[in-house]
Amino acid sequence: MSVRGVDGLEIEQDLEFQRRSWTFQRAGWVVMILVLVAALAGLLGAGPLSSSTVTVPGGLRVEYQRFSRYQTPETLVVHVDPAAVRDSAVRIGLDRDYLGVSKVETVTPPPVSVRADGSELTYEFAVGRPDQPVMLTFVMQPERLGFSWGRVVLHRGEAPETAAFWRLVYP
Amino acid sequence: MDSVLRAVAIYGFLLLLFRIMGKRSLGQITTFDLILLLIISEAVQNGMVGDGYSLTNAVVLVVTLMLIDLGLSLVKRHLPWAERWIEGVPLVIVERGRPLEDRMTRARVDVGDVLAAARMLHGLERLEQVKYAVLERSGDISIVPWPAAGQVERDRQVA
Repeated sequence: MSVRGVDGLEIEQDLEFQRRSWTFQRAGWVVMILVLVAALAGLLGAGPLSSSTVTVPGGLRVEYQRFSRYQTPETLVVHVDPAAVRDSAVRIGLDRDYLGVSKVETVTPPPVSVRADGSELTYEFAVGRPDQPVMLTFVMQPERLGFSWGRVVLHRGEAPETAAFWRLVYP
Repeated sequence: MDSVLRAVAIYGFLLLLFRIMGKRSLGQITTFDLILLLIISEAVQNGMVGDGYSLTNAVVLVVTLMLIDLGLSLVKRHLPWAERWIEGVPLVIVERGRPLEDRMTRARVDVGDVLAAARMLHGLERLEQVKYAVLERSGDISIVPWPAAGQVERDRQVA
């Protein structure tokens, strides 16, 4: 290190470095503001840009979070049209890859049965009034980081309808 | 493995953050600075500890933090540029009694801070009694007063 005396004062002053470090600091402040704005906007977790909905023509609508945080509970809301109710029951499948990323904490209302069907878990819910839309709430907790796809399947006899969406889990 | 990565991430993040904030931030410990530090440690704690309440987790975290600190101090000893980036450099803000305004503005220090340091360290009354003021790497301001009249006389005789 160059010990440059400043007129008798023995001090390691380095003005060139000091200037660079100030520039770095100013850049850092800008980054901090960007982080704050992103957090408020919901790019770093729950917020306006994170809440999203995917609608499938067959009578399925899924509300989910695009951006979630590790081990922070979030809700997945599944809306089913009355037209998709069969035999006073609604059957919803959650993709196994999806469940590998987020584990299901609670389901409201509680399902009548849960079956493991190959690549998915199928939840069957009893429906009291088949002429009303059905709302199902899954509280999920992300357990794996990074980018992944979520798939919610509506089974109604013939061809199942699938709502697929991408999501990102932050550490 | 998780705990080690968490500790490294938190250490790096805080190191970067405090460098970005500049020397003066939390440098002079006022009561509120102290409270802010406590809140920051509280906020960071959950992210670092995670959901591990075990003794092993605590030991691993502390050992990791200590080793990073030890490692960085060795790096700083051998690489001068790393030391400058990690700790910054001291900055002369009053030179031969003349306050260097642009440096003080950029370092977010004012004449009042210099005078406060002069009063506390040397019992000086006026800025003109200050020969040098240096914003140290720690964020403190150090003061070198002008030699007293008798001292100048003695220095002259020695020289």
